[in-house]
Amino acid sequence: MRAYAAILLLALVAACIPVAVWTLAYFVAPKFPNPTKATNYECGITSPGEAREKFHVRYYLIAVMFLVFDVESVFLFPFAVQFKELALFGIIEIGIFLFLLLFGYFYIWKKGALNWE
Amino acid sequence: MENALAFIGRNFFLIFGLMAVGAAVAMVFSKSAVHSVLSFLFAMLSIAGCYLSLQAEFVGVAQILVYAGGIVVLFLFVVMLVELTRFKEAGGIFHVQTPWAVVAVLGACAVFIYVFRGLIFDPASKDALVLKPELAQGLDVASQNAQAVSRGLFAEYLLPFEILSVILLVALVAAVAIAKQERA
Repeated sequence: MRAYAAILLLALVAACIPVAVWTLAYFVAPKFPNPTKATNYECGITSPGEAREKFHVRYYLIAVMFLVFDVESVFLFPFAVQFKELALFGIIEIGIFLFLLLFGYFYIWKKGALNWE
Repeated sequence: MENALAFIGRNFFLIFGLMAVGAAVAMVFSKSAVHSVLSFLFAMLSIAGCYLSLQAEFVGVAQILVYAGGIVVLFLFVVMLVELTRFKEAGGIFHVQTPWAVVAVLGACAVFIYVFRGLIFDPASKDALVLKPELAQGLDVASQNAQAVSRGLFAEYLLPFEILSVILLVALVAAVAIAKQERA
């Protein structure tokens, strides 16, 4: 656990810096708000609507693919650290696991879902 | 000061657990969906801290990789995909949900107590949670817990592990089915 003291210290410092900057800005900065200042862009093209619009469902496929292969990589790690002890049996096991997921990947590929039309 | 630091050092699990509960409450009660997702991220990171304070380093890092990385990204995508302004206009939708949500929470609590009643009322049944000696044999579990996970995963729980790949495959195929439907 002692090894994590450095990470904890880093997190504390990282949390302190923005709080300190905000507090300083709150006391030091002059405040004269007006409607023009409050707009998103003071100059340039005026924004045509809200940012919260519906995105295309195709992004969902990308997100799920990322998640699936993220989970896969987590399961590869315990295999890798015990590679010698697991020997051939482990290679067959992880082979079945990877085959099924690569099958899914090629399925997506062949379906043409990766093409951005 | 010295005592306070020692207290914090002894009770990391408690501190991270309280942080996780606080973030979960903030997640449920925040008005904005994006703020909910960010609270969820904080809760997941706090739970990773819980795992680390229990010396389960592999599970802790996997928690950060999968939940704080993957699941939060998925939730953010869902927030982007759903037209939230329509729910705001409807307004009443949450009034319909509230009694059902209360029923669901009470049901979940009942199941949780039923499953863990032994642990709460009978300390002797903690054996199920203790690491099996054959998994720890020849390993320094505090620093080699990925190896201990590996022994369990690739020997005792082989079938669930292989079924898991089928479940992941189902998720991929389902995502294709949803995304392709749009074009046809």
